[in-house]
Amino acid sequence: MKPPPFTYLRARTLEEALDALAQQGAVALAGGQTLIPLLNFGDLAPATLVDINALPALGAIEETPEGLAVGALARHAQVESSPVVRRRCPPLAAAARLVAHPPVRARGTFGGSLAHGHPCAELTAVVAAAGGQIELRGAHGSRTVDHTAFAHGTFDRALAPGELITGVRLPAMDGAAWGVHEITRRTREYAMAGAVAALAVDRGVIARARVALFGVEAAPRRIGTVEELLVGAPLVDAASIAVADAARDAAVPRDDPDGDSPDYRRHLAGVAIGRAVAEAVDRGAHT
Amino acid sequence: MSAISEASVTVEVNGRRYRRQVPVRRLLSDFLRHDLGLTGTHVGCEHGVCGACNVRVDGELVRACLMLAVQADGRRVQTIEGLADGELHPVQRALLEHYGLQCGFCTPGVAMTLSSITERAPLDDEQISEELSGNLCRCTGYAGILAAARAVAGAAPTPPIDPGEDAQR
Ligand SMILES: Cc1cc2nc3c(=O)[nH]c(=O)nc-3n(C[C@H](O)[C@H](O)[C@H](O)COP(=O)(O)OP(=O)(O)OC[C@H]3O[C@@H](n4cnc5c(N)ncnc54)[C@H](O)[C@@H]3O)c2cc1C
Ligand code: FES
Ligand code: FES
Repeated sequence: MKPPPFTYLRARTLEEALDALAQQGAVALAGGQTLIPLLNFGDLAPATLVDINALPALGAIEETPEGLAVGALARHAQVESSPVVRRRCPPLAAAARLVAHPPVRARGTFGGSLAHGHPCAELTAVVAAAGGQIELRGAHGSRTVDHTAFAHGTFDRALAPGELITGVRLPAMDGAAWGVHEITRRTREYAMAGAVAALAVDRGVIARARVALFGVEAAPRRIGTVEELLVGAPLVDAASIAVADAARDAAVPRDDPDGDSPDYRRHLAGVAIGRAVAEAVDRGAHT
Repeated sequence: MSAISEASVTVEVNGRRYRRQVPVRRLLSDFLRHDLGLTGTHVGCEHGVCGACNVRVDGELVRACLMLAVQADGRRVQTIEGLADGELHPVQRALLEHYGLQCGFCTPGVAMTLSSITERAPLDDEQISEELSGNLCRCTGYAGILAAARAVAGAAPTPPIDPGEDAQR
């Protein structure tokens, strides 16, 4: 199918984009890797597409004292290969590699991923694990929101009409013990279940654990009970901790009547978290 | 500036400059096929899943069905028609030699993917299958496609299947 008629504006400045987005029926066009399929399907009929691809400065990836600042227009492929990301937040680079297929990663953007709010979005899961901050700009000013306050549920996020994500600030997750694992039916499809685990280790003992689940619930989320089990344990023993059971108990599968059964998805949540933690332990033990 | 519903699009496709007036809703895939008559770029799903429409824009491999023609304005596009330069491109020859095509519907997209990875050779098998994960073949001709990919981008190319030997068996 073809996109329904719309008008198009290639924004030259952020102000121009925000002015245009303040109009009724205007939507932002970033990588287009989700928006254009929705148009092709006839699921959306926006009045105007505001192309933000030419906006300067929205695409930068920078090191900050706390960690990383990733611009909304950073492409998945850029995030995947960025030396700064690999140093400051290696799980983010690993997660970017799990997003779709290479040509989709060439165009899809970090901001687009977060804005769309897909429950299986890998990058959103890393932002959740890290406790990132989303920077937003609207016609009436800017604000910063915590990821937990931003991603409420499936396709549901704290984005006011006409508001743009300009970037994301992420605390560093630069410890050696991390893992990102997802279970898919076919390579690089949306995950049935996935997990991010980042363990800070102090003298062989897990001092801090950040473990997020994605694909199963309405939105990616940290699983506190799993984190509590891990903290205080020697890293070498962590693989034998019953994190999978805890994850299964904690997971709240989203409503998906056409999908797999809630029990099966709870089971996959356990498998995904178990494997992400095992990967983290393994990586931590070998560095 | 105000929003437009038609745009004048100037692109360089396979080294030739084209200029057309099109509605802004025109997909790049349709622009190539219908406005420029370059029907080698195939359209399978129009939602980014199959890879039949893969082309290169400023050297980067992208889905032509997920880009608007107006977004290609001022850019360089390479399609399957631009691969052969008098003689077959090495990836085309490899697909031929390794039986990497059956009905040929997915082949233009596959060839564009291979052309983009050849430049990064050598790649190991895992890297090759990662790159090819975005191309679906309805004929399920993956074994031949992978063999062709290994031949052009693999660290250890597999020898072509010898049809003579096969016939003797
Ligand atoms: C075959 C296929 C497989 C995929 N698999 C995965 C996968 O496994 N995991 C995954 O996470 N994604 C997947 N995707 C989606 C892909 O990652 C998209 O690139 C991404 O979700 C959206 O980013 P985009 O830049 O393309 O956004 P667009 O498509 O341009 O926009 C998506 C939505 O976000 C809005 N938007 C975009 N940027 C901003 C911004 N800065 N501020 C406010 N709103 C904005 C748009 O208005 C629109 O509503 C897949 C896509 C395809 C085609
Ligand atoms: S037609 Fe573009 S990916 Fe299928
Ligand atoms: S050869 Fe027929 S679709 Fe691939």
